[in-house]
Amino acid sequence: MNQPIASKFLRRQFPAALQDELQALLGVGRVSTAHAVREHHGHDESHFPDALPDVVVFPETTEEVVGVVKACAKHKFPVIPYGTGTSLEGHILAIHGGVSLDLSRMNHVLDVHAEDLDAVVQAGVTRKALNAHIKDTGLFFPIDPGADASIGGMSATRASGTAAVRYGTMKENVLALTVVLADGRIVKTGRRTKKSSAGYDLTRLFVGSEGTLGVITEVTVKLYPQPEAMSAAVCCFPNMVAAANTVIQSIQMGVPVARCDFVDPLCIKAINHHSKTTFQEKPTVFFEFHGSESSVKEQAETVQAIAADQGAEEFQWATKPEERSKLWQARHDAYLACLQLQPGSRIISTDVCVPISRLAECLEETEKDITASGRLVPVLGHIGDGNFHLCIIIDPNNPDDILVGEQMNHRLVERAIAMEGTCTGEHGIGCGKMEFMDVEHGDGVDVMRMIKRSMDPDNIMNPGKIFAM
Amino acid sequence: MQTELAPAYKGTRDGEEAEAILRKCVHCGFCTATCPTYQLLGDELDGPRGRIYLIKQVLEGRAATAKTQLHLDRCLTCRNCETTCPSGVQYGRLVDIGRKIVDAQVERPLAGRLTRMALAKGLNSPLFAPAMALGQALRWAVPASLQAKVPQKQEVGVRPTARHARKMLLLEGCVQNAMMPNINSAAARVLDKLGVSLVPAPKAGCCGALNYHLDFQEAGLDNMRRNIDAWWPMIEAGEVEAIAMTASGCGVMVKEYGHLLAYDPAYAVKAQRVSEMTKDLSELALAEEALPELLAAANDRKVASTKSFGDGAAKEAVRIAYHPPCTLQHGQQLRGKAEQILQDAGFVLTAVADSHLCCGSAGAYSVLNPEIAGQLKERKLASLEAGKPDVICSANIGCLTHLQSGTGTPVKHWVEVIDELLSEAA
Ligand SMILES: Cc1cc2nc3c(=O)[nH]c(=O)nc-3n(C[C@H](O)[C@H](O)[C@H](O)COP(=O)(O)OP(=O)(O)OC[C@H]3O[C@@H](n4cnc5c(N)ncnc54)[C@H](O)[C@@H]3O)c2cc1C
Ligand code: SF4
Ligand code: SF4
Repeated sequence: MNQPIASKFLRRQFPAALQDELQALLGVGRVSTAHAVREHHGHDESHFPDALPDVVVFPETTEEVVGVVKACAKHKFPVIPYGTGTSLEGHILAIHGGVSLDLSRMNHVLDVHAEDLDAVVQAGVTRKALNAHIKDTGLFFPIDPGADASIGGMSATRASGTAAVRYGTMKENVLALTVVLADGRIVKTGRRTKKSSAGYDLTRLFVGSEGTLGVITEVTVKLYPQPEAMSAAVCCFPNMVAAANTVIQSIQMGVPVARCDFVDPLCIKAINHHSKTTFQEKPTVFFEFHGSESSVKEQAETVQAIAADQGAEEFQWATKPEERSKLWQARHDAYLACLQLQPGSRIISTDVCVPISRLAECLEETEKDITASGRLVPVLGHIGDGNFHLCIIIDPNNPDDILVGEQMNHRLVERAIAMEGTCTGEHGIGCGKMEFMDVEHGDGVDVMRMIKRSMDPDNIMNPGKIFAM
Repeated sequence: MQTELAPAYKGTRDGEEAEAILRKCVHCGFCTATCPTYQLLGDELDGPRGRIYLIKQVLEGRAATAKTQLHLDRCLTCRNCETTCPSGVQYGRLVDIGRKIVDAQVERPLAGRLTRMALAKGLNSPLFAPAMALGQALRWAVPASLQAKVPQKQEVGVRPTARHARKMLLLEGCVQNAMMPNINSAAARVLDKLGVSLVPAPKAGCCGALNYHLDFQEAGLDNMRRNIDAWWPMIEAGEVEAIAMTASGCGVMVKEYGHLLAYDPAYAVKAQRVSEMTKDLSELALAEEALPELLAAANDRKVASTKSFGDGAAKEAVRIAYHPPCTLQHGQQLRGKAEQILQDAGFVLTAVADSHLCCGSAGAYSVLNPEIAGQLKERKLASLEAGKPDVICSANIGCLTHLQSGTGTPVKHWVEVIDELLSEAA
């Protein structure tokens, strides 16, 4: 087992001098030890117990980040980058104690190059803020995890969203980064070009590094033109496998679906309750098509024909922008809605991803497992990518309940890995999925450790995440 | 979120109620973005999620400090966050409980205590009306800072006699009759035309909100009991259909009597009944079938709607910018009703940006936190006046006087405007 126990014995002693140095650097107002602020920064969306940082700092420039990191390096004290704290695997928990480096004040869009289809943003800009900023350019940024996460955090977790099936994940959409390394050096990785063959791809090294290699302070992302026509539809299926088969066949036929997300009846029930919507409580796929008027029509017709063949009901269309955004907002809030199925509960959120050809099989076996367990487990996911989530609802005060939930996740990960899949499609490892790293990567984990050691010899960057050193 | 109640609060009514509310919060922060004080101050602890964490930490046994109190004091209790929250977190109740517990732990400096006491007692006192009259008479001599709070003396007009068989109680309120007495008489005239007589209950007084929200929660509960006693004979005898509220700040309070007195065996049932019978004036008026016809008839005589505001020459319809009070749109979750009445009456409603945001009045808040209240007022007036209205309308005495203190555009209760229209047309 690779997973650390969040124990007080792990905590490093907070050096008193560091507090003074941070205050000298940022002023009293941007260094907080208030319990409520620390609690907010020591608590994420996972089911793990809170682990509070010793202090929270709010830098506003890359230079200030350098100052904070250098001060921490001097004392060999942990730094935990913090975007919006919506990650799901204990990523931001200060299990070794540390300084939570909150990037929310680095919230400026620095440049929009409409003619090159890219934008340069500070790491604390959220995905919605970026889209609001570029609204009038006719461009948009397509990656939309359910939460309004920061672009820095999304880069650090290699996030994706409902539109990854068409536009890719953060891996495909980050062109360049500015990163503050563990020793305080600033590096700029990548160029604004579509391609480059110049040496190792450091951009891709930091994308998905979960704050363990450095602090991302600026991100250059790709933008896309708003499609000429967009329409969204809701389609109900007789069962989960029929829904999956429809999606698989559509993808295999090369229909460029923009979004396709699956939601099971229990999850729909939660969404209806939470978002005051009236979707039918049936296995459902939310589709969206982008393109010219005629291509949208053509795509929709093809998918509709495949769906009908699988016994689906008619499409319910949402063509007006406000209807579409209501539909997707409801989908984005599904996780929060599921939490309300049992107030006070927490969720173990699974995140396997399998090759699309194995999706139906994986879903079918998983459904059997859920039925046999007799538990409340809503299922949803970006199935166009072969990625889906179980929201295993657990009572955080009941260790048996947590254990049963974790065992279900284990079985699912084993199943996915046996099908040549991965334990996490988009949420990342944090401390929640560390134990699966060896099975998935074998000696690859050692290579990762070598990289980490050479870049952060004192292990101050978000220690205790991804793998044990 | 999970809360481990400290022994002092375990098993207590407040502790358990707060725990149940906290349990629903998933700390998603949707509320934070829409909170007016967070928008102004940019500190997590000056937004609802931060305040929720502060209250949680006190309930878990961490000592409250003057800083905790400051962040809770800065909350407007506008309950915008409650409307935004998809998880149904009752922030308004939670912050009441939080304030009570924090105020029991942290003594305020003397000056702050005195101001609060003076506000709660002064506005509540029978001497308030004479004092107000004096202030109005001597308006020119009052310093500018206070002058703003003393509105011009109003023409009141006659109140109709209680001639109809259908009757409703009217809460006269404490400050309203002194500051803008025309509102209640206008309401009485409009309902009279709809076949309903509004009757006062002389022994009733302040709804209790002033005391209740200024750390005198017990005194507030006493106000509530007194009002229930004053109303009960007529309610019990079946003489009245409803209790009409012309100030939404009072309305939201009276609608909570049932909840707040649920544990008082002598009053629980009566309080519940009173809350159920309590309706905002806009709800009552809109429920009357005769209203549309009455308004349409008045509107037909277009002159009526121009004469009282303009220079007398017949011209285009009067433009109104409407500000929905927080106590109405968030507290009572009533939206669009007064607006509909105004529109049915032929007025043009101008578009107002950010109409979900608080104007900064928030009961006694504007006196206790003048700086934040002033900034919110400026923002609110800027969006209200963007559409070049002839009149600004609202539905709560606090908002009306607060807004009027910052603009030359007349600020009126919507029922005054309707009353003028109907009276002209008659
Ligand atoms: C309701 C809900 C729905 C979600 N849906 C999706 C989804 O559809 N797809 C998906 O991929 N995820 C989803 N997530 C997970 C989460 O939103 C993503 O993981 C997101 O990328 C986290 O961003 P953040 O800004 O909140 O980062 P945080 O949670 O603050 O941080 C995440 C990790 O990144 C590191 N980090 C943050 N900022 C930086 C930086 N500037 N430099 C270096 N390291 C940094 C942190 O140290 C931490 O390890 C969902 C979460 C919720 C609550
Ligand atoms: S919106 Fe509701 S659930 Fe979310 S943080 Fe605010 S109060 Fe909590
Ligand atoms: S009641 Fe108003 S001021 Fe107070 S936290 Fe909620 S939104 Fe903010």
